[in-house]
Amino acid sequence: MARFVSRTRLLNLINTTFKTAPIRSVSMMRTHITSPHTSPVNKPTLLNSSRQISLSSITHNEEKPRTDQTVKEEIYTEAMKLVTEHGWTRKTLSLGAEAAGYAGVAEGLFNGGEELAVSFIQKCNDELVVYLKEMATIQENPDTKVPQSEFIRNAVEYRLRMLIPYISVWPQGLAVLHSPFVLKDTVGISTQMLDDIWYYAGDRSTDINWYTKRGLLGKLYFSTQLSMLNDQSPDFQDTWKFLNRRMDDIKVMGSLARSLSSLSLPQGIAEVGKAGLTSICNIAGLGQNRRS
Amino acid sequence: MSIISMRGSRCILSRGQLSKMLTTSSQRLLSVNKQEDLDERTRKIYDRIIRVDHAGEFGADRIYAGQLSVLEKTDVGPLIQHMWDQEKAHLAKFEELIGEYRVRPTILHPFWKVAGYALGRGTAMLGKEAAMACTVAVEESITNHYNDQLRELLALYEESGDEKHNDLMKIIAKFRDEEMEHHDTGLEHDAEKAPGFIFIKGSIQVGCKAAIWLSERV
Repeated sequence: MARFVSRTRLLNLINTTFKTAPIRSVSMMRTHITSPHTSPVNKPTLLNSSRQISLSSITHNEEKPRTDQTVKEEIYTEAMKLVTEHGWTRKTLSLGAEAAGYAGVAEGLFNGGEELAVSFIQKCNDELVVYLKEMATIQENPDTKVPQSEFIRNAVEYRLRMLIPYISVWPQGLAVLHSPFVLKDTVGISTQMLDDIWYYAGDRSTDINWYTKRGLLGKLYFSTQLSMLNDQSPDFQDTWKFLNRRMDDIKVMGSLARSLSSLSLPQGIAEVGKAGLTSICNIAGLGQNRRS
Repeated sequence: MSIISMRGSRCILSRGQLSKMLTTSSQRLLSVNKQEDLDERTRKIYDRIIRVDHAGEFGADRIYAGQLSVLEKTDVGPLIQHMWDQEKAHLAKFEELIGEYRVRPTILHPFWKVAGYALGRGTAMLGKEAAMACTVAVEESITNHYNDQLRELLALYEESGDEKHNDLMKIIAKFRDEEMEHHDTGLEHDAEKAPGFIFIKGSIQVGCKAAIWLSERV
């Protein structure tokens, strides 16, 4: 006569036995890679303890359909934990795949370490958009509104802080992002990020300023990012000071452009001529020596 | 600048009203973003349509400005002013759409600024008939172009059954009707009597085709 085991007691038993995600058998993994759209092979049979039972299919009531996308997400999450150790390579992806419970060859879903880096910046930018939307709704309230330059400065800092956990391998990451296989994607994602920051900061320009603003922000962002790679100060304080100085430069440029546009044509030409002459004197060594 | 009412009880915006409309659109809430409602393919189509239409209306605005700088004191001055005001309203509407759909404006904007003004001023200096001929050529190009866009949007609507395409279609249809009126007005005011009318019309229409092709892409 079989002893009656209550469902909850059996569940507790299984939960304590399988503390980590069990490695699935090879036949099951082949199913995952070649036909990701079929339902999972391992249907839970509670009393059959000899077969490996997937923890998730017992504890979740509905089974999530497994697609390329979900598998890639799982591998990505695991691989990012190993990036600082192994870099932006296929090795990291294959170790990540194994950690997620798939065979190492599942890293073939990604187009090499380059795609890992591209996925990383895409995810960072998606998070940034969530932040920007929140900040934009705060901006709509006149009591909590901040000046546009401060909004942009905070957005750039928020986005750069996402690199901090991976800063030790980010130089390689940047190099990998410029590989010809993914350069087009990198440029697309970066320009989209610059547009996002300006859009939520409130920019609605419809002329050439659209391009100059995003160009300026791109210069600001990438120069601050480079400075961050060499920063050893606590909590990257030097980088944020660099960012503040660049923002001040931009403000000076903006006020300069405004003051120039208010001048008449002969005055404008005179101002530009004076600036050119000063530049030539500085290059010839006759100008002031001022480092700031 | 007083409000002029034209036939069909449509009012032209005065300068004050126009500038007020422009400032309120720049203060609009940050959360208005219709781009997110569109899928990738529709987004690309809308992006192209709104970019080229904005460039076109901006060019028309500059052309009329150029024409008016020469012909202000003549008897066609008020007429050109009236057509210019309508183009300004069109331009304001497309600038609003650029904000709503997060469209990248054309990078050739400074070039169209100079080229449009030069074209308007150049044809006006040839005489008021030549200015009218330029109007006829440009408005005919723009009308055909808007009709092509309406066909494209209609095909999109019939494919997806999505109601939101109707908004843009209504706007473009209204503007196309007004451009056709400008075309007819130009013909009424002796455009065909301009010296070398066929040459002026032909060369301007070739230029418009090139401008449309470029602004759709760049």
